[in-house]
Amino acid sequence: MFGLIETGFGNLTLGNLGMLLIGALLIWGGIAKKKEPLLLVPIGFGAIMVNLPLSGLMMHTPEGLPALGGLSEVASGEIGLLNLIYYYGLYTKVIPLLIFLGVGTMMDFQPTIARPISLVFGAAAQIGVFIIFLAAYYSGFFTLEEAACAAMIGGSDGPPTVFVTVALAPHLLGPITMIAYAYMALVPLIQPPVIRSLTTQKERAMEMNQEVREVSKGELILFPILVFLVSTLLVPGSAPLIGMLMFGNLLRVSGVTERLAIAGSTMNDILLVLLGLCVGALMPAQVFFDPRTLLMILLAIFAFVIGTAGGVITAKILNLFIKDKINPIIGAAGVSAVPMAARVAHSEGLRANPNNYLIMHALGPNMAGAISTSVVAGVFLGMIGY
Amino acid sequence: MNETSSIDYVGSLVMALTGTFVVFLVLILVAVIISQLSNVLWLWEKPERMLPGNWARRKKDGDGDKPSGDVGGERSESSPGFQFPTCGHTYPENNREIVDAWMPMFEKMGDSFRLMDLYKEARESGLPHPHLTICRLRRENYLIQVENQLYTFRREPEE
Repeated sequence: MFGLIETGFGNLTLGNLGMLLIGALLIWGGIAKKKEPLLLVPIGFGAIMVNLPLSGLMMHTPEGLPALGGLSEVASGEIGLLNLIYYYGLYTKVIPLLIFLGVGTMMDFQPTIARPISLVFGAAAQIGVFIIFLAAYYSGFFTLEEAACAAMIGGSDGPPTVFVTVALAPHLLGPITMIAYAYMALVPLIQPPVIRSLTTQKERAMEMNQEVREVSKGELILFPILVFLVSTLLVPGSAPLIGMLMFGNLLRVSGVTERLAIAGSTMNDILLVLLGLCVGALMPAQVFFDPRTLLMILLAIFAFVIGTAGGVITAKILNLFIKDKINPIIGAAGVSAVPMAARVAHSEGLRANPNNYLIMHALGPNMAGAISTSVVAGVFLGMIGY
Repeated sequence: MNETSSIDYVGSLVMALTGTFVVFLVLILVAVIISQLSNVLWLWEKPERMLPGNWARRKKDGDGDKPSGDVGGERSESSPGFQFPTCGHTYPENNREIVDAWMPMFEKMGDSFRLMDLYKEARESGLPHPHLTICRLRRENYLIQVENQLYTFRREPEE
């Protein structure tokens, strides 16, 4: 009737309508609530673009994976514009790696270098990832590859999660990336109850020595090189991620490549927009409304809870052996989520004692978390992938 | 058939345990290396510091004789070979010196301000070691809390 069958209206499904609503909600969250706007706005718009029937912006293979091709395929109408971005940006894993380079140019590792024990908290917070990896696999809903990708969300670091998912379970890239970035907004809600339940008021109020050792330029320059050497020699699978992160950081601290470092952070914004658009386009209704997606959200939250608890408990254990005591709250910042987790640790310290300024101490474990998630990604790729 | 589909539950448990162990191993190894980095750089500048007496003095004095690349240290006489660049800022010993340097900033901040804003302003103005300095001014009672998260500056420290 009136040719409606040939238009998008005639092909709209309930699933499409649901996804259009979710896309609109994501855009609203990004603009009105200012939650990760650089990601949520493009993801939301991408979800709208791909869920308009007959738009032809993203074509899928019969197996449900995005069709691959270059410019000539776009011209002949075999694939859409978003397929092209997916192919060159995500399928080749270029976008997450370049984003990590940009992240490296923005990271200040001084607190980590000044207090190397921070690195242990970064490792402890990854316990949640491995526990959830097992839980996901034992649940029977996920294959080993899918379980690893779902668990990576708990590391709360976007690029490593995207990198591992592209390699191991590309069909889950859309929901996993969306969850990984969207649930960063939940960090201030998830962490405080965990911290409070594992620590006493006295422990949270503990003031730490504010005289943090000054870090020399030489240490700043050698740090990225040494981290790359050690982690790549022990976990070769982590080389692309750690390499890019540390290279970006070397550009920042070398003192002679400021222009490149600034370019790196600008490039990061552009790539985040492309990533967001692509991720949104990987959320057709049939993928998003899969019960496994909802299960992944729950698993990610549990991974984050366990990671936070792991960091806090490790700090308490270390306090039994070290002279210069650590406020256990800063262990919670070992989960990546830079700098949100450090801010949460700081505000929990202030809440317990108005003179307790923990931000500089919490940034150390927080930066270590970024290194740890890359190592975890390398471990998964080494054991399951390639 | 997927290669990994043959991995059983015990196999995945072993993978998780091995993975956790490897992550800890990498991070602890990096922590150990990084913790010794300042000592290595200190020795790099002047190899004669390896003599037992000098080493014992460094241990006793802490950072008394800092490497030239140290952000907070004085530049020591240069040694042949590679030298790391230095930021060149020194941390004033005298509170009065700090107060004089920071006075224009306090005038700009007004009667009361948040420490976070003061820190940002100090960084943007290029003042050395803003975090350490703010901590010191708080400890020495130059910065007094007036209400929740708001502080004021006293030219003479409060008793």
